[in-house]
Amino acid sequence: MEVELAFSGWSGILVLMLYGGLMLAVGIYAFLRNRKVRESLDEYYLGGRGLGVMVLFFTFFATQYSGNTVVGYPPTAYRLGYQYLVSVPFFIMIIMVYLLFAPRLYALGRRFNLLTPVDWIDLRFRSKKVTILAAILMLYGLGNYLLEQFVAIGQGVSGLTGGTIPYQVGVVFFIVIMVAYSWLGGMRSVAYTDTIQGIALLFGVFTLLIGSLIYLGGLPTAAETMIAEAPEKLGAPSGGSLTTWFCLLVLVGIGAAIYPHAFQRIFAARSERTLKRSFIRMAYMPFLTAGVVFMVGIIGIAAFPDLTTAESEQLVGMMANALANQNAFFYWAMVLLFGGVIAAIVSTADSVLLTFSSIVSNDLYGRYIAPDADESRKILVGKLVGVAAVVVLVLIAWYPPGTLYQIFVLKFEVLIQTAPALILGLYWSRLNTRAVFTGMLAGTILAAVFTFAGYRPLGVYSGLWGLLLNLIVCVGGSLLSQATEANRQQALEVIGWQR
Amino acid sequence: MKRRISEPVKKPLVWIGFVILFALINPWYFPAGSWSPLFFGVPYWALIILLASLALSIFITWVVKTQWETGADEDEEP
Repeated sequence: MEVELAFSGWSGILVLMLYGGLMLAVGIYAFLRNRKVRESLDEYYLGGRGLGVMVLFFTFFATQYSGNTVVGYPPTAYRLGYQYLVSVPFFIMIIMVYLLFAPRLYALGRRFNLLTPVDWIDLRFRSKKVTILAAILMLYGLGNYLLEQFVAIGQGVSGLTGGTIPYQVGVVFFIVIMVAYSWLGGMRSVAYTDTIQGIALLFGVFTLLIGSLIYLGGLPTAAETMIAEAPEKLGAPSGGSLTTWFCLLVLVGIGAAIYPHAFQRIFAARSERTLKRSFIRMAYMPFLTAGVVFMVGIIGIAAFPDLTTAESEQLVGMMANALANQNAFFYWAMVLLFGGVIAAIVSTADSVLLTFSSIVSNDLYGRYIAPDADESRKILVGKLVGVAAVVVLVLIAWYPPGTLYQIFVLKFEVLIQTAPALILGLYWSRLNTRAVFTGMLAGTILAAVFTFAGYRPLGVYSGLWGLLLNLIVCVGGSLLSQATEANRQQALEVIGWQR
Repeated sequence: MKRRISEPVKKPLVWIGFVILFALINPWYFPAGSWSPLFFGVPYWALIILLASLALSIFITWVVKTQWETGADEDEEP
């Protein structure tokens, strides 16, 4: 079912053009302020390791909250009711998981000038096999992630403009803008635009909530509807839904914290103090974002009862439509909301693309193909391979697979398999390289097989089964056949605090 | 030279706090399917989960402020 938005058409196009122009201007500004950006990997991919609290905070924000949070979460809350309240604590879990590794990782990043997550794995294990496998898993996960963002951009643009701008044109327009500003200013552009995009998104979700409360009925009305028609949406979870709740907390907590682009941002902080202050702010954002969009979905239960699953996917569009018809303020607020949603998707996509390119530049090309190339050449190769990947993904995006939710779980399942190497490696000097490699590979295969077969024993997600096997192999393998004394010494030199 | 280093991951108190709060943000301790009483249309258990989540955020703030000190930036000083 396609929803014709009341505000679709020229005002939608106007806002999109404005967003596009603003992002390009930011790119040019970042480029003019720092012309050396194309000559140094540190400058291009990490903003010269100089991001301040505000910008760092918003760039973390952009990696965690995307357009999907706004468009995809309310329909899920609509279908599951309060069982989906888990979306608030799972975002807090991400920060909790960060605290288990970020302090040491930041210190090591400074000391060894680490650029990417793969860089860290290479420093720790000094094994070509492990480095390349980790790089491939990350590139695959990031590619899937990027694909999801492209599909969402296209749907968002054609929705906002009422089909005036076709899906394909929307995707191409924003990808060109995104690549242009990323190329101009690298991480700085990406982080500055993340800031603008984050503010637009926050403004949008709050007006959506306020409008819904005024015009579509509040939570008590929604509760009455649920009592009458679907009390299970109101009741405390039990059995299978409790397992789902637990899995989401663990999977999202670990998965989103070790997203390569989230992981890499730790290296971009100007100082430890900056990083700490950004994390503290992030710990409260779930209430203002996930909490708000959750409420919007719950309000929808009373406002738009009895939608089928496919219809409910359009819930936010329907609500925005209803609000835009009220008065001029909400009309423009809803235009801005959808502009903000698209901006948020673009801001997630640009971070992912930058990290994708950095792994190509630094870890594949720079490490194995042409170690002697100068940094500007490495950056160029990263940019070009990034664009080639974008073209391939856009072609795939023309035929989007499944629903958004399934793709969301898919990328986690692969990326999470790098967690033992990334995190355990920080603390355990006896961790054996062969065990890490075998675990990572076995975990990935198990997760992939379970996913494709739709197999979910005990209701636990396939990514977690993969991670469990991965951990057992890593730990068991390391205990059975310990790292050689030389390897251990080497590991201790890296992760020990002595200088 | 030895520096005074404090990492959250090495503090038992941090782990105890995280484990307790993790247990509290999972809604296993409510009677299955119960929702009454409602507060402004929100079931009691959802409010408790939100409070537990807020407690986790506050605990995270405390951990970051007091349990994390690696002096990583001092390395850069000559």
